[in-house]
Amino acid sequence: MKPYRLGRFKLGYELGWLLFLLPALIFYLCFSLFPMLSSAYYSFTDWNGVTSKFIGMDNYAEMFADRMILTAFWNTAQFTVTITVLQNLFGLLLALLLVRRFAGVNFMRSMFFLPSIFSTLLIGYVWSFMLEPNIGVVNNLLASLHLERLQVGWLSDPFWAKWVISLVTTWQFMGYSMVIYIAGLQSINQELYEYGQLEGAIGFKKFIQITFPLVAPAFTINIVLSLIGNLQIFNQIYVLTGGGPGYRTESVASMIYHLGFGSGGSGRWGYGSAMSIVLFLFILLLTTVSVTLLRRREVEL
Amino acid sequence: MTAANRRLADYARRALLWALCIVNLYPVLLVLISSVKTKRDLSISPYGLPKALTFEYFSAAFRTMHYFRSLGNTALIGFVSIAVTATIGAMAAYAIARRANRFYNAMYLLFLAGLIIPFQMTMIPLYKIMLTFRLISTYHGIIFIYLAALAPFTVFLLSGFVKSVPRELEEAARIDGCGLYGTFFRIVLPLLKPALLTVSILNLFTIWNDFLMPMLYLQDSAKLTITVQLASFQGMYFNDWSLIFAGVCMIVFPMIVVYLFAQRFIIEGITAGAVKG
Repeated sequence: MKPYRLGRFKLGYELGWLLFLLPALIFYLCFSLFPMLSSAYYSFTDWNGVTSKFIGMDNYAEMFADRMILTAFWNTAQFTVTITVLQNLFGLLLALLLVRRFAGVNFMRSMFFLPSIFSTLLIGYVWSFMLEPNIGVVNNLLASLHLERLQVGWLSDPFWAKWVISLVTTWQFMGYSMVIYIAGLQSINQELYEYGQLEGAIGFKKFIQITFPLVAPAFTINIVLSLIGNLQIFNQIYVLTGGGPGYRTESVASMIYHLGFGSGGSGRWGYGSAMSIVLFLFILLLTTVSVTLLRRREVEL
Repeated sequence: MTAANRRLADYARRALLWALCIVNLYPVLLVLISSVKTKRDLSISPYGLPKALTFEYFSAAFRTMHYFRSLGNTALIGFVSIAVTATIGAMAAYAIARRANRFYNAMYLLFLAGLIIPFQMTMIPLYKIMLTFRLISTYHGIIFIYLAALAPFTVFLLSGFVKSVPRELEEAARIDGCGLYGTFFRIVLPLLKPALLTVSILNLFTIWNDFLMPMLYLQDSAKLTITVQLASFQGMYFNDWSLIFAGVCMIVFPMIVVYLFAQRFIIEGITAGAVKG
């Protein structure tokens, strides 16, 4: 069987290669790209799943006057910034502590990485239990330290609920960032440190002048992964607060879900589609800008 | 600093790290401990050690979750999706890496775009497609969705690995009379084995952990996967923490086993994705 020799024409050869690509492409087109493009179309209609009427930009106009939706966008921005910063800060710190070889270091790395292989659903259950106002570990711990006045309903308090979501996400994924930072740190040529030492770069100065610039590629990938993931933040919210209290922790992604499938869902699927288009454009813009900026930092070295 | 001082500082640093590690793992340990406590014990001292061991919640969770049935569903959906994704993903990655002309580069970018598409964007139209083609609550329907969802990452990761396969081997095979497909299936695919294992494990975790897609598109409770099964009974037995934690343990245990055995491949996949991209 030599398909590309079937004909003497170049067409047969090209077709042979195309057949490698097609199976994956067809599934991807039918079940990802096509629905995505139809979402773009539906965003200009008042589609409710059954009937749709073309209404032009009305969904978009309504969205930018809708306080609830603007809150969801603002929340998403807050989650993204907080989690990206914390996850990278802790990930890098852990990597710096665990990059050296010593007895038990591999075990420790695995254990910090472990939470990121679990479903956010399960992570959500554990933290809901720990943060439960009456029997939860956190409030009980505060009680045993005689700090009762610090006790709150962590998931129902508008201020804390947001922080809980950010911190739980950070806890879950900092090990993931750590792994990428460790790979970055290990690729640094040790001789550079010896030169640096001769030039008087020690301690914190050593970190700023040598380590930090050289982990730039790991930094880029970690920031970009965090941005892509957290702009779509959904699971954590779905499991921990369901968007509440009120709409205080609703993100764009969870809002779209609630508009389409939620119990109080209004079946406004056209409106939800418009939101998803705006979200996609934000992700596209932010990842492009951050890749360009961060890559430039890599090149300057 | 004297040698003795340095050693002391080193011990202190390590002790601190171990303490950090335990604090970090506390939520995981809590699940394990809580799942063997009695309900009364759990409500009186939610974070102490169990006074007596009980395994009744495991057998209760086992029944409520229809453990074997949902495990079977997960295995069926998971293995078919993973095997097909690995094969067609490797084929596409091979074409993209070897025919690096304008068309295939564009196709590569098209696949990469999949990494930034929010699921919420496809969720609703996908529901309509599934309804139209009668794919709701079918095994093949959810498998199609996973194939599409896993394709971008799989193609991205594997095309990086294909580039590390020496072209000379393929040329030698051609000279020996291998066609395009013979070269791929007999030479390239076996060489990609470690990469295929890596990407398959990462894909397995994705499917095992997913609850949204099965929840939306598998409405027949007899076909639910293991993680969704827990989500649906959590709704019914809200706040029955002993039962929930036993269920969590039963879901997590197989994963931890896979993780411990396949750690190297998982880490390799993550860092390769980061570096080779």
